[in-house]
Amino acid sequence: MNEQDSPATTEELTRRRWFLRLGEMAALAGFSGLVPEIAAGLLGSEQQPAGLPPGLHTPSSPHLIQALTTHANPPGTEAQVNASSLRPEFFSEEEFQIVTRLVEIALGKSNAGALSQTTQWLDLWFHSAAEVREAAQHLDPLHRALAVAYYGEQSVRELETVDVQTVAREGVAALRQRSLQDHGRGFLELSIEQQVELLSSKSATEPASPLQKFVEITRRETIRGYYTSAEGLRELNYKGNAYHLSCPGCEVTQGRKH
Amino acid sequence: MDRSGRAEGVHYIDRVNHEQRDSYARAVVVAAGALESTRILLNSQSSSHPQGVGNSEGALGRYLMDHFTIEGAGGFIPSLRSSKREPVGRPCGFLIPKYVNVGDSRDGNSKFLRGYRFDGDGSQELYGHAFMMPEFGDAWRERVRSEIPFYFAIEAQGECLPRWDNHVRLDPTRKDAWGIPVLHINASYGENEKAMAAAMRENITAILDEMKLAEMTPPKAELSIFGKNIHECGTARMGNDPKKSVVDRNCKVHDARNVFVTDGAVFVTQGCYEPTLTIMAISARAGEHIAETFRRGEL
Repeated sequence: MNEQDSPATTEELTRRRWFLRLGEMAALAGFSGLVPEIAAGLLGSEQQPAGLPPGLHTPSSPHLIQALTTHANPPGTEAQVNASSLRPEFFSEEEFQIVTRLVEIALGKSNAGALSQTTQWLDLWFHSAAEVREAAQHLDPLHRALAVAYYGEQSVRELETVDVQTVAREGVAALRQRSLQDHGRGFLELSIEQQVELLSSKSATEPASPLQKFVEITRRETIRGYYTSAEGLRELNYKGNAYHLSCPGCEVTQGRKH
Repeated sequence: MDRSGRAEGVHYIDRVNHEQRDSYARAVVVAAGALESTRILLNSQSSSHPQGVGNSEGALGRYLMDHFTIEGAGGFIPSLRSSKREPVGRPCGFLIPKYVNVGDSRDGNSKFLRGYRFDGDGSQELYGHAFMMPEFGDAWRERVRSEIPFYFAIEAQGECLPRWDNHVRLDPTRKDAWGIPVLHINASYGENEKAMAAAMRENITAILDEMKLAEMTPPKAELSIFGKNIHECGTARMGNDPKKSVVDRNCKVHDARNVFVTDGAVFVTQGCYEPTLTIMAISARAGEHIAETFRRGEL
């Protein structure tokens, strides 16, 4: 086809271009056999930190090389900005301490980093819940039908109807009240044995009670948060997927039996 | 389009700067995916083609198809519960080819036309089993590590019959960001697909029973929603009769001399397998035809 005039040359960042760039950097950073230092050397002038704001970044070489060769967050990335300035967005300081205690009880012994990532996830999840619910309630009917097809009616209805922020507030209040009634002290002032006993009591396990609902959701999201954290994945000994180098059990290779 | 049914080229809008442009060519090949190709043809209206290119007989947009699946079935394999994590995941699914209504009448099923195939996989759970263990604390995490179950999942994918009623047309009111009418899609599965789904569920249940899985989840009762499988085909079907089809055997639009469609839109039926390889084969054949007619000076 003959172009009658020149095509646009605007340097627009597209998803495809981003992935292409990522692939290029991945190849340089080791998948092709180059050691990271050599790969970084090849990048020359692009090594200076880009100083970009949080959010979607231009696929700059320093960010990509660093992401592929170290576990540290490069300067300016969203993770680094968030980690340095985190304050709970949904929970009050006191509520967040209670949630942190619940996570500690659920997980048992864990390091501070994993605990912090898990509690951050819980705060983010509860904080986002109102907007998620509102978005779910305003889905186009066709999009809702698609969501039901993918996730099931029950899951979609739960997103639309369950006010998990209220569940959290009422759950924490119920926990405080139960602690005061049973022990005359706040939950955080109890011994760990008393805390565990309270969480195993009938009031905390009675189906559909405010405390039971809160504890259940908190436990569920603790599991999700912990086992998707770097520490949790290490504990599971998860190393990712890899393709087969041969075809086990298959007698035919490139059209010929062997 | 000129009066002889020849396309002079294409008119398009630059995605970045929204400039309107024209490009001219001896042949125009439309290959934007089944629905977008048909949308382009429907929107290509002129005095010689008032209903769009390829739509002189009203067949354009008709016979939309998409595979349906029966999903959700699976269960844990009791004999494989392990405390050892596989060194690395080796993604490896399985596929059981279509056997129903193929040749030998032994596997025939007269309740429906055409057939289906199965696919699935077996995999070690990552942390999904943690939700099912009610305890907490160190002992619970140790159980998550030491009692890793293996899950087996299976689904079946069935062929959707081409039906006149399943169609797309230009939406009279809705337009995209560039002011071009979008498609209104009207499609559903019919009695044949529902009868086939019943047999698919029976087969899956028999497989699961035979495997003696634990905590078995039966196949879902409902068919997947139309469009979910994103194997959309049809709407510019191939055929010899210009009154009943849109393109000929070489993918050339019947009512245009030099316009070709080379994607899933030209499918007459879609079988129960993924359409990509067939699209590639059809496109290669159309390409050879275009080159040959060009050499003969017919384009």
